[in-house]
Amino acid sequence: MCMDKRPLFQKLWDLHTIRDMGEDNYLIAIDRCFLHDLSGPAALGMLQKSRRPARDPGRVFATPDHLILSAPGRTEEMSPLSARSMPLFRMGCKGYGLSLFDLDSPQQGIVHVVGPEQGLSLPGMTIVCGDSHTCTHGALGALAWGVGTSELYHVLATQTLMVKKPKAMYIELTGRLADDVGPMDVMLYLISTLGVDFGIGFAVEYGGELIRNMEMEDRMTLCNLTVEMGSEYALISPDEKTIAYVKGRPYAPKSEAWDAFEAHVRELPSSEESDFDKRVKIDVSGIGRFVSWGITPAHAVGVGACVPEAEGLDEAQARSCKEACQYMDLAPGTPLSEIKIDRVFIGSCSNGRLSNIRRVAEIVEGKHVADGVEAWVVPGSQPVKKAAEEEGLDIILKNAGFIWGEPSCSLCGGCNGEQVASGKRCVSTTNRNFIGRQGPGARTHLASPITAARAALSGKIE
Amino acid sequence: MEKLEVVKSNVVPWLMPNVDTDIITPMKRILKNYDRIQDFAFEPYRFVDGDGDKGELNPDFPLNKPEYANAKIMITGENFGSGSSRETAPEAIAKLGIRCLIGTSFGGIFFKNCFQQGILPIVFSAEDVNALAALEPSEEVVVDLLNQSVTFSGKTLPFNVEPIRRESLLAGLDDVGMTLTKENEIADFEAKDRKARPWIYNFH
Ligand code: SF4
Repeated sequence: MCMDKRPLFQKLWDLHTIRDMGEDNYLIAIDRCFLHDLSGPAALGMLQKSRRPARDPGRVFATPDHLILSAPGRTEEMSPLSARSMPLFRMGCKGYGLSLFDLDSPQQGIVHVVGPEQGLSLPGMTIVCGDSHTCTHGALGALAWGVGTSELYHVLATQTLMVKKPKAMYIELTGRLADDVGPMDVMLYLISTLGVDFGIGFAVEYGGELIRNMEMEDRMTLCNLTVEMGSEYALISPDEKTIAYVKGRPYAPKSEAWDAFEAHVRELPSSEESDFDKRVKIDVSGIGRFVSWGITPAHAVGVGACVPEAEGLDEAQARSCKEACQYMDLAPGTPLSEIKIDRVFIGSCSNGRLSNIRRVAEIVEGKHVADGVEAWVVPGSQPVKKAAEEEGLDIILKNAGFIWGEPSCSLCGGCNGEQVASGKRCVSTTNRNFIGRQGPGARTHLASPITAARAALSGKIE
Repeated sequence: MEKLEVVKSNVVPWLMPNVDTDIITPMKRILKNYDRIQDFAFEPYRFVDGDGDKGELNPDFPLNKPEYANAKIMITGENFGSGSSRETAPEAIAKLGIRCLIGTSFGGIFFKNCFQQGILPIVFSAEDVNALAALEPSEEVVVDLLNQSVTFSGKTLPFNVEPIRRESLLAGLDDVGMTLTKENEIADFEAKDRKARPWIYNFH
């Protein structure tokens, strides 16, 4: 048999193509659809209005995360937004027979944490959700992307989607990282050097030594941040780590089905010879920890560096730097270590998993959050929360002065009303530092959980 | 959704640039008056003091002028429909009886959403848009989707539209309706796929 030169992306595309519609448009079968409490009720509303049935309710899973609070002891009534949306969400899911991990469910959490954790997101699948960070699930070797509300409705009604085919890019990452450097730093480094539009039009697959050595949860962080580089799709070819991660998860295939599934997954990976439309190779050895100083994830520098000077930038970049300095209230040349911070947020679909929380607990154990800093750790899901509590991490964090929250997107986008006050500065393990993202006037510094934990202790970015 | 083949009417010009989706359908009206969303479309401009609750129509706003009461074609300003992805914006415009928008540029998501509401958006050069906007209210314009052309004042201009978009307007179907015309293919695909990848279908 001749060698299959198709990259993982192309294999997934072929596997799900129902029809080539011409001009690079394809009718693609959607294996899994996730709904959350913000766009979910709206999509269900559209379905209702159309009087069409849901085509395959068994393939749709819903969980509240965006609008519900993360404050300890939260209820849905405590946020006016979730008080309004939860009844609709519940009614819609029930009406169409969709599985909902409701607030009292042991599976509830941020949709991009829940999918992989429950074994609902599997290698080889197509996965959509009404949220741009759906690329997170690509870490498992699935083609996963974020869609708008009307596309969600389309998926609910037809279990398919019309999609324009992207090109395939391979980013080979080589080198080893220092112990305190992780995927968040790698992505801030990549985005700040390659730019926020580098990936536009491409499905990006990561590979190479760095990826092979990387644990699954860190791969998810890496894929999560890929949309900030302009690519809607991130992929990592499944390997032994992927298979071991999936095996035994609640919704993963069992017994005989597992064997067929595993054989299928082993056929999927890209190879050295795969035909990509573009290949880049980047050595990341020696990069340090990264932190953002401005208003896009590309405005990031190494911890210990200064806010960049505008010299040598093109006009558009210089303008964006100026706007960033203004919004962030920083002058070019200011060492980031001199900035005083007000808040720390550790959580979100980027960095709200157990391994992230373990790293934080290790750093803060026996120490205390700096005076004047309000620091939160919000686990990404109920299972993450439970596992962390079983290990006593919550106690370590609370003793160190952290607030230990309930699974929710929380401060990531501030949709639930939990926000950073105007003019306050927050070191955050999330993925977006856009103007007003964490609240009107809020100033966000994106960083890894390790950097955020250290910032919580010292009140400074160091 | 009503089919769209040929639209014949006078044109209502409103060349205001950057009319965003929040102007077209203000959030307050989506929440309060969704059932009559078209009555509040363009509220900030359509009503005196921008207040639909007072109910007094601004006589200078083109859509309020009696000579345009039956216009099915609207000539729009630069970047029309920018802003959020809310689909109520083209929905309200469609409910006002407008079937075709002609302008120099449109918000990207709004442009796509128009087709979901049976509206044909057409991009022309500033020169052609201005010529259309300058027509007398008595002059008729013919937008012909079958031949992909716009005829007015004795001249005919061609326009482009993606083939699938054209097909769906001609058939009077939104994207879901169009996809469901391929129901047999979807069912065939799933029958085969169910054998090849049973874990996708039976996992409960
Ligand atoms: S944690 Fe943030 S980025 Fe992730 S799904 Fe929630 S709001 Fe979106």
